[in-house]
Amino acid sequence: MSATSYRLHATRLIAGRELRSTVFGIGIYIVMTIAFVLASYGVNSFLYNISQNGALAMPSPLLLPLFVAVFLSSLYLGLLSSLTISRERDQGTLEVLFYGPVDSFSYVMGKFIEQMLVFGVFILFNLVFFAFVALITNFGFSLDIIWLLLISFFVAASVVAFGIFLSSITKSSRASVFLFILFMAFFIGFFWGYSTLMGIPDKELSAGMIYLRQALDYLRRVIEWVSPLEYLNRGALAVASSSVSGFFAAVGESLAYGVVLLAASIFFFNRKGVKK
Amino acid sequence: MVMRTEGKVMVRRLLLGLLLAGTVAGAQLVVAPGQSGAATGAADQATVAGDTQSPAEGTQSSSNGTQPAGNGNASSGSESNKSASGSTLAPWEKDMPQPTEEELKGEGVPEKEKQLVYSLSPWTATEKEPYGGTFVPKSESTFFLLADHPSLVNPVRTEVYYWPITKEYMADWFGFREDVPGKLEILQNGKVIKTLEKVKYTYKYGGEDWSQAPTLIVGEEAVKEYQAYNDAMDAYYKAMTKYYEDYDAWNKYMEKLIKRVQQTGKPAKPEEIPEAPKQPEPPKIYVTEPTEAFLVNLPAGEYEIRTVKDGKVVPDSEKKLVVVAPRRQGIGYVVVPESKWTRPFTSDDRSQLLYTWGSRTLYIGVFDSLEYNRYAYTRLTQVHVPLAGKGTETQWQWVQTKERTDVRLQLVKNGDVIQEIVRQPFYVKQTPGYALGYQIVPFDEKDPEMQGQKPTLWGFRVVVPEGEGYQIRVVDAKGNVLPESVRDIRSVAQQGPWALYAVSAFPLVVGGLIYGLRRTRVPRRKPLPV
Repeated sequence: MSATSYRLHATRLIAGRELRSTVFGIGIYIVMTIAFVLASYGVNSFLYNISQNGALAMPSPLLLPLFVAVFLSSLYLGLLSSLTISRERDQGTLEVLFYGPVDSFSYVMGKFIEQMLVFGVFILFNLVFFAFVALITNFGFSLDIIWLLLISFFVAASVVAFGIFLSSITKSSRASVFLFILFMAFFIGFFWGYSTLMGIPDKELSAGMIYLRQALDYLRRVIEWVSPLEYLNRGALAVASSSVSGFFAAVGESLAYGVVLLAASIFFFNRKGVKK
Repeated sequence: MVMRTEGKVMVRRLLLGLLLAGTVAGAQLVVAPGQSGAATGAADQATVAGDTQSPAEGTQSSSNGTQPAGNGNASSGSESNKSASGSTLAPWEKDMPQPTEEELKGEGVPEKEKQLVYSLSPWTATEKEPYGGTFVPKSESTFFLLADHPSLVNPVRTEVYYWPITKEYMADWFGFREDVPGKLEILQNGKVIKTLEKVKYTYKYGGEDWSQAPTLIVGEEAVKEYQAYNDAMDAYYKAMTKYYEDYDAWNKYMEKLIKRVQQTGKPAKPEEIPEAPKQPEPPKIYVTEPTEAFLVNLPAGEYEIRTVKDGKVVPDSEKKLVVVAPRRQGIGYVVVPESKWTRPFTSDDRSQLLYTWGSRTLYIGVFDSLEYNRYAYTRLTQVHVPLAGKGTETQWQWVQTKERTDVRLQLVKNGDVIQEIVRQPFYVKQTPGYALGYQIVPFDEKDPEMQGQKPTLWGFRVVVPEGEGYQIRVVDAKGNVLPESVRDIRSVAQQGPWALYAVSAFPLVVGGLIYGLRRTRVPRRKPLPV
């Protein structure tokens, strides 16, 4: 057996073991239920607005709830990957594993592939849920939903890679989870704040708010390359405006983002070692 | 008893206080007319200083040299009872600190600065207001124009001031205005690509409908148009003069005729009664006096501009010009739901489907739309507002440019046209009685209720039935479908919110089943035999 075969074998074993553990656990089902309850709330809000106005024009009302559901799911996976790696380091499991035929590459890739397979399960459930919602609300199950689910896979890969990256640079599980939550809360808060501010007309903004908007706009030019939420947003906008080039650009960008973070994670694992 | 005595004392003090206050206020009221500035200033200073002395005490203290320093007005006033500005001072005012010229000017009068600015009339691409109005102050280095359509740019020297209330620069065009002669050079990458001469231009208003936007006329045509307008106005005034003369003559004749009829008692013959002169109609147009500006028409790109006179660049005339083109174009709809006619909404592109709650009646306006960068489009007409559009550099916005009146709207079901609708006027009629309510009916001039009124709205009336597979689209005069006009219509299902929440729980059910299945398959641990 060559070194590559050993690596792939180890990767497959790690991914398989973790996948079984996650799928047979109850955690992901609880997260999915929470995501779907939030999505249902969003869909009901749209229905209420339409009923109040008589008619409304908008892109598919399912896109935003789907956006929320897939991002919440990918956050869970990112958090899970960050937590499990740090915990295995804390408990010394990682050190034991690395005495065997496991190296940084096979370990990181095993974790990553496992999380992506779990996200595949998420996508399957999302597909069923939103198809059903489209049916009972008559919002229509458009191709846009498929495209958004497709791009969400790559974005989830970015979030998971982000979680793995954080666990590779921190020493304790507490620190990596704290950092992950902090970053994601910041990304979500920034995204929400920026979107809200952009929706307010100039005339209704004070000078201070306009300066804040400008500052956020400058900051966004950096954050849009760091925050996985921005990748998902770009993809969703491309889907909503039927921009094929925009869609593939978003896929390529999130893919590159994930690859860079995974490579960085392997680099830091090698550099810092696996001892606690 | 004690309380009653105290009450009397308090009333006395109050009355005394009121009398004193009345004396001072009355005296101020006597002084105020004609010298409001000085009087108000002095009063304000006394208030700020917290001076509670009586007028007499004030005079005494001033003689002690307790006046604030740096104000010579009071001492000069004490000699001649005149302030520095020559106004008469009240006896108690002569020794009070008088405001300086600067103080009199106040903080509400902004500082003006003579600047070379570019006065702009940028083309906005909209039918309702095709040309905006703004100027590029010295502090702004960049301005925006829209591509492939002429806009007017004119270098002018004027007085500019910042108006903090609306946070914008303003130009005192009527106070000082001086056109800057010369040519306009347009550069790209440091090379002059165009040199423009000033051209005459004018705006023509009116015609059939005064509410329509003015037309820009440039070159010799502008002069001719203005001349034609002037000739028409002269002819109108002459006709009016003649009308008044004729009317006067007719009036005198009629007075005589009436007098005769009254004296003789015999009615006048019909041929004796002349027709009253008709008042001439004024011209239905208004043309502004031609002025000169540079007509800038460039493709999208970044440029530099400068004004050149005798081969030399005029100081402060160099600016960066960004010419923008739309990112996308499409057909936009303005939809007025019958149930909320005052709350219209828009559907700007194909991705914005129409969702209805049951069967609905919609009044739809069709527009050509262009999508521009939000920042550039805002700055286009608001260069003089430093904060306008800041922070929206990465945003886009749809601009409805022209209402399409030459098209028909089709209601389509599963690919088949089931109705073709023409644009028509409608009138919103209030329902009788005290309760609120209205009806939207086709506008009919002959209807007594609508006589002398104008249509409330124009549009295509679409009754969207409940069901699936409906679309609206627009066809031109030849019957060609405008591709960007297609919109799906979906009538959403009217059901309660709990159905969705119930469906949300299905992962939990699946998870529970898997968890239970696993528990049954994994053998239970048995205690080790002792």
